[in-house]
Amino acid sequence: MTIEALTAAQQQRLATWFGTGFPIGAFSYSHGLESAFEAGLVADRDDLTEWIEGQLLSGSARNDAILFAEAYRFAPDIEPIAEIAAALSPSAELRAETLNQGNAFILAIQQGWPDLHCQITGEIALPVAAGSACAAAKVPLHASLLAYLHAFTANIVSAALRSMPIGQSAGLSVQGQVEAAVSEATEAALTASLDDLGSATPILDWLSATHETQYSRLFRS
Amino acid sequence: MYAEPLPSSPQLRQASVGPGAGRRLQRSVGRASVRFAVRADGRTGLADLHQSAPCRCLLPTSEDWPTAVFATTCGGLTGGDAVRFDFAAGPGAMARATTQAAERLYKARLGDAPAQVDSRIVLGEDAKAEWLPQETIVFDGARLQRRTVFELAARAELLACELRILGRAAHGEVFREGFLSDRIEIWREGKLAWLDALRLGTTHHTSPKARSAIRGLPGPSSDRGPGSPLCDVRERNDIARALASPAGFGGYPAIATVFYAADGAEARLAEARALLEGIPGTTRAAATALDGLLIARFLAPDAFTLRQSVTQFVTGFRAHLGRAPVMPRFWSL
Repeated sequence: MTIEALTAAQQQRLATWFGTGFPIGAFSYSHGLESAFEAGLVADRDDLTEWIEGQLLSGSARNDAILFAEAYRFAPDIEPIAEIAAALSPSAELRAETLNQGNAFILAIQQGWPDLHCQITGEIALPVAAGSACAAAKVPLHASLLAYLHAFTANIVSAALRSMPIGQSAGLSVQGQVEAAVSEATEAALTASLDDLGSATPILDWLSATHETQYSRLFRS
Repeated sequence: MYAEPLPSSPQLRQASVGPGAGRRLQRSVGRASVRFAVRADGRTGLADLHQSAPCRCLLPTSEDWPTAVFATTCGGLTGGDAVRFDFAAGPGAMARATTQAAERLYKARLGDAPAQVDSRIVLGEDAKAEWLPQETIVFDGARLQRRTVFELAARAELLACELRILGRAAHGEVFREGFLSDRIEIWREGKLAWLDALRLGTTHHTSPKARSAIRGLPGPSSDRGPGSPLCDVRERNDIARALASPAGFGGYPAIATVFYAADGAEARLAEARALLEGIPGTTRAAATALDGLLIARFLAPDAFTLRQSVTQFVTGFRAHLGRAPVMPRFWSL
């Protein structure tokens, strides 16, 4: 599926908002990967690819994509979606991960792009914050969602490079291999609704709870 | 009482409407509803009871708490069935619900809508309730859409569990195809506090055009619609992958969640973790705490081990709450 052309401003905003330098603290979360490595469930490049694809096609990233798309469609009336997004977190750390980043995302948008008038009170999960900002900026949904999910995968690969014995070239090959799953998850979310929310990742739910008591930790999730 | 819809935000409301509802003659449609309330003598007693086949509600007198035991007389559910259970504990009441036996979900016929199971558990102010159904066994090929809604008023306290077994492992059966959407919602004073949504497989009710767009399949035609061999191959792969994936089920076909919702529930996290230290070593388990909510998750190699682990945890947790360290009697029959 091809994507409609973006204006120069839209292209720049996506690059900035979903780049690693955007100040939402993404680098401090591994989204369960640190525990998966500790438990021996993700040990090498192939495991990492499988792990990321699982999140995209039947895990929390699938849910995030649906929430992002629904927030985009309903913006600026996103309160009910924000309530569902916060309630959907399987553990304390994953809830903190999405709410802290979502709040920081809105704050950064308000500081850098005040003309978008992103006014949100209360806590807001990252996909809902990002989806509503992209809607406010009128960046097309498909391109926005693709950028969001790409950033999700890039952050996990980055966490892997810092916590697992995986080198730069292996990390790059994983990033290349998960491109198809990023595209598939994006397209699936475009035709999904809140009724389709749901994941099949009980191991992640369990791991993210074990992380709370893990002895040695680099990450906050 | 029967006409009351399940609560929800506008967006979630659609979820209670079964896909394909009305397209086929439903096989079993039933409902059981029970309400407990505090009587004049200060003790909790039965206040209201309704039942229509195949749903039943038994009221044993031999339990340590006032207890309702839900049952379906049809022996299990399959595609097109729709049942609903309502359980309410009035203000200040102390009551519990369980099930007579494991709930079996049989293989659905091709094209059947998923079996619908809707449960609504309402706790009045200061009520204490337990929702401890036995496990749900999802046979290979079964299709289930289940929604369990808990509504808690101020200062209400809830202890609940949900056990799911995918495939009959004792018969060497693996859950390869079918559909499972199992939602648990906890509403506290009108606000959605927690949503647990397990989802496996596809509904088969998405339009062929949308499916082919999603799946990269050839465009819609009479032999490529929902339920066609092309779709089924893809579905089998998706389910097999999720069950084996290190992030998915990691090869564990038996999973459970136990949750305790109460003001200050998070203060019991250390107690919960200590209890998890003692469960069978083949079960993986961990606990987490959110605002006013304690959640323990279990993954086990089989139904027996899962029941054993959950029983050990729940009975131990009941002891911490000052209750008898027992499960409902039907659990051991």
